Amino acid sequence: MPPIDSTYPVETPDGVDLDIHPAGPVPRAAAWMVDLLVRSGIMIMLIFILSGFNAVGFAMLVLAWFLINWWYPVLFEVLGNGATPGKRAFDIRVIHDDGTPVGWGPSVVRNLLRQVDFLPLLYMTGLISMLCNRRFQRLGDLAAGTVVIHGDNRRITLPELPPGETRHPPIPLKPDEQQAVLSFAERIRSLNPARAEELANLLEPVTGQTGPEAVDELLTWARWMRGQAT
Amino acid sequence: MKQAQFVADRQARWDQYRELLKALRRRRGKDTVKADFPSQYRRLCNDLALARSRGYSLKLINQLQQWVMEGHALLYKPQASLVERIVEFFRRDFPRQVRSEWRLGALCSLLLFGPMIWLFHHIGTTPEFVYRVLSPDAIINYEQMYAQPAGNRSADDQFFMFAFYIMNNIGVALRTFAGGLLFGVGSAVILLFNGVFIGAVAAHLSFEGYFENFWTFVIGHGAFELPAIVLAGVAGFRMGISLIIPGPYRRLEALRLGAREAVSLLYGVMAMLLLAAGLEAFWSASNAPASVKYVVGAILWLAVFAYFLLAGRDTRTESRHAD
Repeated sequence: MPPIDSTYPVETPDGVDLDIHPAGPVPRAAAWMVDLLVRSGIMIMLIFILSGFNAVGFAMLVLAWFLINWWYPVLFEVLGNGATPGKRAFDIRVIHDDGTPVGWGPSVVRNLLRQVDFLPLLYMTGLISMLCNRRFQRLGDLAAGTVVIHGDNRRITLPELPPGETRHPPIPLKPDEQQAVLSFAERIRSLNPARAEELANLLEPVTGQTGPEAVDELLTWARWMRGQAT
Repeated sequence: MKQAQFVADRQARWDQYRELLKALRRRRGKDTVKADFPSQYRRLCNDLALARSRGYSLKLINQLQQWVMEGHALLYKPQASLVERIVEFFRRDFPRQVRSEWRLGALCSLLLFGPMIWLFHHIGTTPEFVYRVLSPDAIINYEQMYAQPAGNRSADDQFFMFAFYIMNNIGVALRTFAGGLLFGVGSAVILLFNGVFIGAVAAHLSFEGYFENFWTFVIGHGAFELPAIVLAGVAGFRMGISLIIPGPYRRLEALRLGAREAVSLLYGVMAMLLLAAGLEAFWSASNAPASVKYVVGAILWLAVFAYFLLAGRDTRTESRHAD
């Protein structure tokens, strides 16, 4: 079954699939704005510091402008785990589309081709390109074979299920069905009771119950699936 | 096996794995411990696959996947020695790649040097034609620049010009490359534009009595600068051509391969332009006698051509690597 969101799997040489979550235009545009501010900030700071040094200061300023203008994103992406400060602020980063960390070559390609993506103004070409493929790749990403993904700074903790009875489901469940029940049970604390009942009611043909009883029934199954001690 | 038991059995090993990840990121830890990392990582992959096929909870799967991803990023990081790669690149790969692109090289040379030669000829016979290419202000500006022989710049000014040449020339080269993505059109336009501009300036100054001041200045660094701009065009065209004629690949795949080749050319181009900027700021602008500048300039041109024609032709190193 193809995923219903933009997630796509990448198979590693070790035989497991990694799910990649490509980041869309909105967080990327926001990250770009933050980077623009950071770059301007650095430049303004340098102007204040270096303008006291006459010709040599101006020379350094020109070099700094060259570096910040062309190489800021490349340096941060390659040395900073795929993220410029702006990208870090929005928890997105660049990787190769096979899931490996971005290297010098692809980073140089994707950042130099920004020029073309920017045309005719404010990344219009890039935006159109991003909307035309499933991985939100702008032209530079397509040429470099890179993709910007949502990071993994989300703290994942395995929640305990509320204690209670343990019982196996009346019919054998397939892995994805089992997973759906488990996900429901693990999210139970963040769902309001009415919504939890609404969801649980969908399974009335199997549980034979409605309302709070249906929720409890699903929780007892989930505890059985997890093998959690009662 | 139930999920809770699965987690309990492996928790200790997972904690160990995460400690190892941390140590490797900080580049600490004993080598014996590090050597254990690949096998630890693969066992975790195994755990992830098991958890998926058994339909354990999504939270657990996501957690395992995150740890696998972190390990994956460490294990599959490219790790050849940077110095070794740079030396090999300039000793062998760069001149070879330039030779293998001789067709595009000829095309880009024509786009840059063609207008120059034509303008030289044309302005030689009809000097007023220069006003159709350059504005009168620009012409006066250039005439003033070359009114005196080079050599009266202070050290500070030289350093400033060095920085300026780096920014300006490498900027032009990078734009020439990026323009190639538009099916090569962008690169062609920038090459033609530069050919026309440089040609008009050079022709005008040569025929209006600034011959020696102009040529003694440009001959030295030109040996690196002009071929570098041509090669930036080649890099751009490599990308554009791969889109137009993808060969046996899908267009997107062809673009990716083309861009990979192009960017390695671009590394060479940037090195050449750094050299050119250094020469332009500190040698071309120095007050060495004209005859010395002509001789050195000629030697530099010969050296650049010899490098691209001859370097990296030996097959010894290849046989050593082919095992």
